Amino acid sequence: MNIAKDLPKISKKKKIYLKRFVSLAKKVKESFEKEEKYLEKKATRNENNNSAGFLSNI
Amino acid sequence: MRIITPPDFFQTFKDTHILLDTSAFIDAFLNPSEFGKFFNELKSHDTTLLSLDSVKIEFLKGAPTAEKYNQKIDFFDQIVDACFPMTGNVVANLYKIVQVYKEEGKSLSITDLSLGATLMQYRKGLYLLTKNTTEFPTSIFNLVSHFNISYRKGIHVYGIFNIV
Repeated sequence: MNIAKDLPKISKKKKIYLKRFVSLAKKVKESFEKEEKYLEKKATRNENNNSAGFLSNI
Repeated sequence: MRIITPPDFFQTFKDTHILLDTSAFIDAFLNPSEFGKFFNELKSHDTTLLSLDSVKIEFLKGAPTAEKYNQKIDFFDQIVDACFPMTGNVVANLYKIVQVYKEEGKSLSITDLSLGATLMQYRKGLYLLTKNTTEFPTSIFNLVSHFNISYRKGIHVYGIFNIV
């Protein structure tokens, strides 16, 4: 199978400019840390809700 | 942190196409300088870096604001030359690969299956780069090469697979 045939047209190989890449990576890392904090909070909230449900069944 | 490749690594993948799994993007933002140089070395050997929209979505999901979402898109697009479109043939391969995996496929994500189905479509000329090596067993995939990432504490391994 011809890979190039199925791909969108790639005009030129893009070289990564390291300085910009490193600064962008820092921002993305911050975003992931925020997401993880949100997930942790959500997990705790779910755990608390489950506990309450469990107790109410006793 | 250091990326340690075998001596002939970049030459092996000269003029080829490599599919990147989500793990590569996550490690790239954690170690941007080293991964940036690594990707540039591949690009200088005319290796085309590709991915899938499902990988991109996996990477983007959870972005807390529009600005963060755009930063993630920008980061992803800096690395890849293009995303493979999900063609009808790849969808047909998804059904095939589920049968090939048998019970080992139960825990796989649709992204892992899509990567496998895309490799199945293009065979020899396309490789998959992933740290998630347990999901791509050598009973189905051919391990072509590997490289190590050496951290202060421990070593991680990336595999490069294809389907012959």
